[in-house]
Amino acid sequence: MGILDLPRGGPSGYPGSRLIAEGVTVRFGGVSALSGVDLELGQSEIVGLIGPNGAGKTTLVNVLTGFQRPTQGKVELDGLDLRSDKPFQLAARGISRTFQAGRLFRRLTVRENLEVAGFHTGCTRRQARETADRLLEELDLTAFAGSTAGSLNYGHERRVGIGRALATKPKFVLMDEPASGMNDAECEELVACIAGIPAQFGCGVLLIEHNMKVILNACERIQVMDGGKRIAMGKPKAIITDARVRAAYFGTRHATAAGGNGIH
Amino acid sequence: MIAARNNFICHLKAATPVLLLIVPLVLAALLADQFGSIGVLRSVTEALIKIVVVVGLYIFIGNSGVISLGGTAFMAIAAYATTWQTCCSMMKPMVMSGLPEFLKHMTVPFAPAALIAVALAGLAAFISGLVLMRLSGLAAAIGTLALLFIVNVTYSNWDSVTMGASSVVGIPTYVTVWIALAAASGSIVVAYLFQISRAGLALRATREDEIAAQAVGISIFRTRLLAFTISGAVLGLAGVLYAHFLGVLAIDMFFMQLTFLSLSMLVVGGMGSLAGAVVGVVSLSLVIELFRTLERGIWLGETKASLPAGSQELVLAVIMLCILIWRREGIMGWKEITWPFTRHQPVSASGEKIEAAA
Repeated sequence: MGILDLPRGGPSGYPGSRLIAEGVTVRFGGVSALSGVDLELGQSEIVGLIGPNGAGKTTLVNVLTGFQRPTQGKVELDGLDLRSDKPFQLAARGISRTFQAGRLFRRLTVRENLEVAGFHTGCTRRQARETADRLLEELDLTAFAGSTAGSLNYGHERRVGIGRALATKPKFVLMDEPASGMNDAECEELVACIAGIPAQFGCGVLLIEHNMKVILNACERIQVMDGGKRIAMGKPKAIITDARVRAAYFGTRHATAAGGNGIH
Repeated sequence: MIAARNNFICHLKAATPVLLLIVPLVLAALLADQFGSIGVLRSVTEALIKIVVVVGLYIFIGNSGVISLGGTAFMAIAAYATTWQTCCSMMKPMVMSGLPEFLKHMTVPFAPAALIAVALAGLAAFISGLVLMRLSGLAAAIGTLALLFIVNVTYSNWDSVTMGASSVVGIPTYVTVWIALAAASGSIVVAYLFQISRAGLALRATREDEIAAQAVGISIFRTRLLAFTISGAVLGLAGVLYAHFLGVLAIDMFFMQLTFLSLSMLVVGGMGSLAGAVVGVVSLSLVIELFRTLERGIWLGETKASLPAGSQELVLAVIMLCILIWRREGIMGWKEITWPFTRHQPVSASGEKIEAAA
């Protein structure tokens, strides 16, 4: 398994910003999407966020990026309270995200998609264009720079989404299921790309993903959620053997029956 | 030397979408001026003013994807503003007794009066935009329509300064085909500069996806407000031109009929590009002119044949329907008219690239 040998992010303990969520609760009417969830993300690490459908992963990302106000709890960036910030202000503070649905600017070109993400830093159009071109080169997308984003295939669309998030010069990138719909070869490429982000771009990554191969190969720590709560947190090895995690994924009946590495 | 030449070609290429729109307009104006009858000259002048209107609408609607039905309100505001400054010094103190003293007895030269009127329209757009630009989609369309009604009702009842529903006459008519051409070209340049600016690109990103635009640090409110203000100022210029072209001013000139005519021009040409705005005005103006002539009647030998009055409106409606059914993106379909030799430039419209991506 070549992909297991890939570098896992930057040097640990690197001094940088920390994004912290504490006791975050979100209620929609009577339904709790999140109840008292904690999360900590450093600027040089890749943290995985997994859990069954409806566990509250996307809601947590929405809270961290300002698209959802928490009913209770704290969200802080280096001690700064972020709860009253709007999404565009959080992006300017260095919290960037990708979307499950891609959400590219479809009738703009790929280059423009990245360019527009750099404007909040106050740079000129030319500077933004240069940054975009450099990023496109690093992500191996230069050939598509002039194509409209709507004409891309699925895999390239995902990569442009990541490029756009990185073009905001973020401290943290939150990725919402970047591997969904990808085949094995594309997933390997994606893991290589994500694993290099902390060292290359100096930003931490929160990776929401269902594909366990991607999670296990890319992440240093994994947080598991179920029913709006955090049920486990730890190193990949500890997580795949955790009884609660197995119960959440397979139901209690199968918790002991499931095999070693075969969680997909 | 070569670098300078390349640089020049680069700039020329960048300017082509604008030049390819302006040059035909210059030719049309020249032809009309040299060979056209007075009627043709007036029609061309009016079409050029309409270009200012529709380009003004395009700056906001085309780039933001939000329909505004209130644009003509800014035309009215600027048209009255320039009239107050330049019109009929003898009559003014009597028929517009509500004007402030300095306006009642002073006549401002045309250029500063126009500038002040345009600035006032921009200011009105900015202030109303502070509220309206918080709305999206249908709510924004209804909100801007409400603005149009507010301005219309206010001006048609503010007898002491607007003469109410009756017309103001005797406004100096200085707008020739050349002034209209200069204004049309100017508005096209402004629209293009805005469109390729950072704010313009950011606004087009919000048009494509509001959520994703916020996630990359774009404030939807601010980018829309800026475009709405610029759009209001350009529409104000169109209002000034109308007043000084017709020499007559009444508030109902700037109401539903003009709103929907200019919007249909934008839809028919294509909302997504500056070229669409200009092409829409030119094509619909031609159709309107043709049917106006047919309605007046033409002599076929000894007999005079004419279409019934109102057929012009009917034909416009049919064209609008056809576009909405078969070509929803308008004649230009989101494309600008570009430099014909773009083989070496990665342009999104080039078939090669799109094939590679698909």
